[in-house]
Amino acid sequence: MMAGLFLLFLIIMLMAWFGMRSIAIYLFVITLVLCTVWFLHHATSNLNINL
Amino acid sequence: MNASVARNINAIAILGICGIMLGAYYMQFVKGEFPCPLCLLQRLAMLGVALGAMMNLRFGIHPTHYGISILSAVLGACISARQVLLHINTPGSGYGSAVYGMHLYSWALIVFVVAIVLIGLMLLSDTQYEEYDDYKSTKEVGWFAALVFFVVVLITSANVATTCLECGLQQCPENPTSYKILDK
Repeated sequence: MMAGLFLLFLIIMLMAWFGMRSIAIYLFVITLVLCTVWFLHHATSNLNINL
Repeated sequence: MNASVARNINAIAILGICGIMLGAYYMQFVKGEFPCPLCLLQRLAMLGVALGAMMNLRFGIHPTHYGISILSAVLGACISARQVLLHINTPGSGYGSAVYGMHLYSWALIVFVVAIVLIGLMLLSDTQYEEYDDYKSTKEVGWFAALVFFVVVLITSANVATTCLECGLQQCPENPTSYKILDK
């Protein structure tokens, strides 16, 4: 999954280089959402703090 | 600030991020510390910050491109803050070794916050946008911008390969100790 996210970023960068701006931006938004989901998936340990 | 100055600042920012990514690789391959899932997500956020700056170089300076960098930096700051909070109350339990007294995720939090502030300052300048009414088409890029672009693409490709080696196509282990693919 994580390698896939890096791969998506690589594709976005290449799209930007070859002038596909709109698609690159849409794909970036999708990737950002996937990163957030994957972050929430991994952030399961309890925090040892008292607020 | 005119567009040319803004482009140079963006290029230097990208090189700074490349330096940070290479520093992370130094810790991974020279010091033998495997990046955890949150560390890898912070790398992705760094690349997102670089992506916005790269689009500024390729298509001309535009607030949308700065927006890409800010969104990535905010996500990166959340991830690194979460990792700081995980270890903040248990001294000596940090992930990996410290660099100049702080762990990489603490440095990452500082980098993301500084990036947000710097991008905010960049957005204050109106004159950088004037030369680019047509921001949707590609612009001529000089050798420096092309080199910067090439370096970022190279680092991203390297991350695809090393993350694949470490995690394979499955979920990355919380505390990785070896390269999954090489173990098979």
